[in-house]
Amino acid sequence: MVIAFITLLGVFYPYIGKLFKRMSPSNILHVADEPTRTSVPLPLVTRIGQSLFALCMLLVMAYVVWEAKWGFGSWEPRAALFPWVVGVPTFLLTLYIFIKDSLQSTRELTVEEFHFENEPEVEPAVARRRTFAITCWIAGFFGAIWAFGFVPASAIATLLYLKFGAGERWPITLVIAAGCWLFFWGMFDYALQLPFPDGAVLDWVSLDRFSWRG
Amino acid sequence: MLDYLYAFNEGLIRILPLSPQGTETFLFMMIGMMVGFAVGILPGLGGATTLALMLPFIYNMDPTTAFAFLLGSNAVTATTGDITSVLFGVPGEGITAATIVDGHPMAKNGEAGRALGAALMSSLVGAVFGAFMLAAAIPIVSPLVLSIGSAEFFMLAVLGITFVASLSGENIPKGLAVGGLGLVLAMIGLDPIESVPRFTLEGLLGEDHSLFLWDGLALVSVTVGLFAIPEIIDLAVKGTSIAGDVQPTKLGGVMEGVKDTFRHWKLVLRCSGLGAYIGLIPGMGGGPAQWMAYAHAVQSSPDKERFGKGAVEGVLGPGAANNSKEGGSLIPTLAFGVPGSVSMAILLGAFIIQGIVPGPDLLNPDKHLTLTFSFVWIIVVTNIITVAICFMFLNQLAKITFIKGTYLIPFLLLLIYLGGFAVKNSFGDMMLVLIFGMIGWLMVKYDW
Repeated sequence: MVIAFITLLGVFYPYIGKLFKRMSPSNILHVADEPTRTSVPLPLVTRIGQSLFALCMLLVMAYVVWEAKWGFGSWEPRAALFPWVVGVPTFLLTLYIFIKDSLQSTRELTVEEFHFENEPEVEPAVARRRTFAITCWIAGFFGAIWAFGFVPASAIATLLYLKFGAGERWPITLVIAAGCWLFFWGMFDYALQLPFPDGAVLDWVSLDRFSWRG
Repeated sequence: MLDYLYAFNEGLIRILPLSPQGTETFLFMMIGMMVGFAVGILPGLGGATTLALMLPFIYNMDPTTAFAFLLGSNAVTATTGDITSVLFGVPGEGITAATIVDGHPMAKNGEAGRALGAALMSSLVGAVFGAFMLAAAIPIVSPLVLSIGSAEFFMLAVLGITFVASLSGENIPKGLAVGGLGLVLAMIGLDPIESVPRFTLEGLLGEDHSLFLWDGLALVSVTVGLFAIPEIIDLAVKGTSIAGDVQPTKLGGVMEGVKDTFRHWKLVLRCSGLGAYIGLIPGMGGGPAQWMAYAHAVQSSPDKERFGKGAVEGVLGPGAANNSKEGGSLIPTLAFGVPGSVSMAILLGAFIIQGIVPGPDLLNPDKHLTLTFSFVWIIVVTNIITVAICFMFLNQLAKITFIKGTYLIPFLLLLIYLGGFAVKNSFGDMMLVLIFGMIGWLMVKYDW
């Protein structure tokens, strides 16, 4: 009973919290100090982005419900019970979020947030370009590890990133790349002997993993 | 009672270098502590990220060593996070943001050393207080936990899920939807009762590759991706050093700050208690703890006008609370398996890896009670060592935040992928890191 009570308290906590906040005398005294909220229009790119992300979530949950009903659930209903119980309400929630995000054209900000957004640390266009670039590099590091194996990739990917991604000078690039290689080889290959697989490129050219070690 | 005293004593002996096993544990605790130390200094990378990164390395360790390694890294992040908060106004951790309000003005007023001394000493007092509160709670919660059966555990699981609502802030539907998504992700793989593969994407990946998903998604790959990749993207977008364009200031008067901790000992103890209590409530975490402690410091001071302009009490309160919450949040994690914070949720993954079920076994003197008490000592010992090191190298430590972000990114990326790979030695887990990293970043961007 105690746990059930605490659970119910947990469910209604945000509403109770809001109620107490509103009723608190200090809040009443400091109403004037409360940050003023202002409504600002959402940029089109953000609107499209958030709608697409919500749509992706919706599709994932639709797949979950479909699998639970017509996939493995059709021949083993007991295994589908829990996915069904969780999947249906979550699908409905994501549907609601998708509709809400698609229709949302403004958002509320406090004055401080508003000023912060109007004087961003990085220009939005630069931020978008850098985000795209780092996303490619994050995927590129994965590709390098897959292609060359972990230890060689630690030097190759670091070198490529520092020189062509960050535009660093050659001496610092070479020192950091060598440092990375030494750290990953020394710590994880030599000392801990983690079984790193060969890179796909080394496999294609029929070099075994010991050839690069000398 | 003697059992508890024996376990309390044994818990300390296990983590000290008094035997070959103790030496190994102590060594790994030091390694973990060094990692936590560095991560705490680096703004943006939090204790949860550290735990997620370190999780893959505990597979071959014994439980005491594994938790000394993990808790050692996690316990010190809040302490070191205070340093950048004071010096640059850049919080090393989300949970050290309140220290900025008075700590950074103190630094601007030429009292950086005093602010750091106060932050570090109050952090130590808070951490020790939280740890001993955990120790004191064990005999009390033990009979309660031992009387809990399946039905109660089910309700506790439901309770844990309901805290999603309080963590979601003003966006409860999104919080609940992500909670549901988390449950669905946990269902991927073979159904434990019917042995039916669920959501293994056989049609999409083919029979060979879908086998990888039969085991389910590795917690480490998912958490590393979700927490670490968005931070790296953020660092790259900023394009500066992690401390931004802030310049370092000269340090001095550190001992004055230490004395301040003892001058205001009642405030430090009250805020420590507050932090431990908030840590105890699942889902609350260190964020509310530090701000409530700060609010209490303001409210209990006769001279409220000084706050925000460099009042040392404004540093002492949050410093004590954000460290004492660590011990508090371990109580529900150990006793009920209900994580008190994100870090504790990741720590639960470590319990699974070690084959230990949180709950009665951890409070049973015949099973893992000694391990539980060793948690107390790990928090105490790591914080004492960290604070001592911080005092010795304060000036040098401050320089770490001026390392250019681009120099750190390759190293962090490789470490993250390594974390994913080390789970099952498979590229599939690295792919999961990448996928969940992108999902995590989009979730942050679109306020999920």
